[in-house]
Amino acid sequence: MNKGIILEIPSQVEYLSLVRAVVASAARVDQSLGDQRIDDLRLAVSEATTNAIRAHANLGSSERITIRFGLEGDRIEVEVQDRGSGFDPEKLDPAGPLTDKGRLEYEGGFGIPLMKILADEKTIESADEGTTVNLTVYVSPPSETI
Amino acid sequence: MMLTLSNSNTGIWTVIHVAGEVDMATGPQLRQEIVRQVSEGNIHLVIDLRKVDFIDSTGLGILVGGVKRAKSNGGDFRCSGLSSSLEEVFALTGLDSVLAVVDLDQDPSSWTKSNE
Repeated sequence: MNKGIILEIPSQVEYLSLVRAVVASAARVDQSLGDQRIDDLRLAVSEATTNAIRAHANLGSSERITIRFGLEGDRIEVEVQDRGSGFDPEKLDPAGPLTDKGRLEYEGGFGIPLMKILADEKTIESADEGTTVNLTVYVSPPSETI
Repeated sequence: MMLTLSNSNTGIWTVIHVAGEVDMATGPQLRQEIVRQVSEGNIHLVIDLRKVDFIDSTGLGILVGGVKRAKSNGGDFRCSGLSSSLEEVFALTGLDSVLAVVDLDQDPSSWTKSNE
């Protein structure tokens, strides 16, 4: 993938709005991507970056977080890489529907499901030395690509 | 990005007007304001999102917490002014099943009935 833009940000929540602004502006370079899809990508990337910042905070790490953005033919790919302690994506406990008894007691549990829904493709590679989230949004839906 | 909060009162309702982006950086401000209002007895709350450009999962969680706080104190919690993107996110996460959306231009008496 030709990752045209590379951002390295301090692991601080104050930089989230900058990441979103860059992703949205870069995505608009491809004028065929509608505003709704840009909003979807913006939110998915923000969630991935938020998780990366949390991972560094859990370690007390001041290392930077890397976001790579690429426009590649029929798709936009974004990679968010942290240097946290990693986790097992298969062992994430789904929070369940909000209508479940007791679910309102818990404010979390939206981030990773949102990434999964909003991106056309999502992969999480996680190991002891960090996590890399890849998000892909197709300019046209995957079923329409050749 | 800054988050700006202001309040107004309409009948029994306290409306918290939110402007800006709600995320992990700014969300604690909104949570604190909701907690403050409920602790002062303002248990009928509407969150006005007309000037909100963005909400992430932190913000959604704060709204979930608002529903719990208001209801557990005998009140109601509503929101208003969702953009089309935010409507989509509410539907995708199921937030629309526990958080009613009201129209601030309508009679506030209709807001109470919105989630019954």
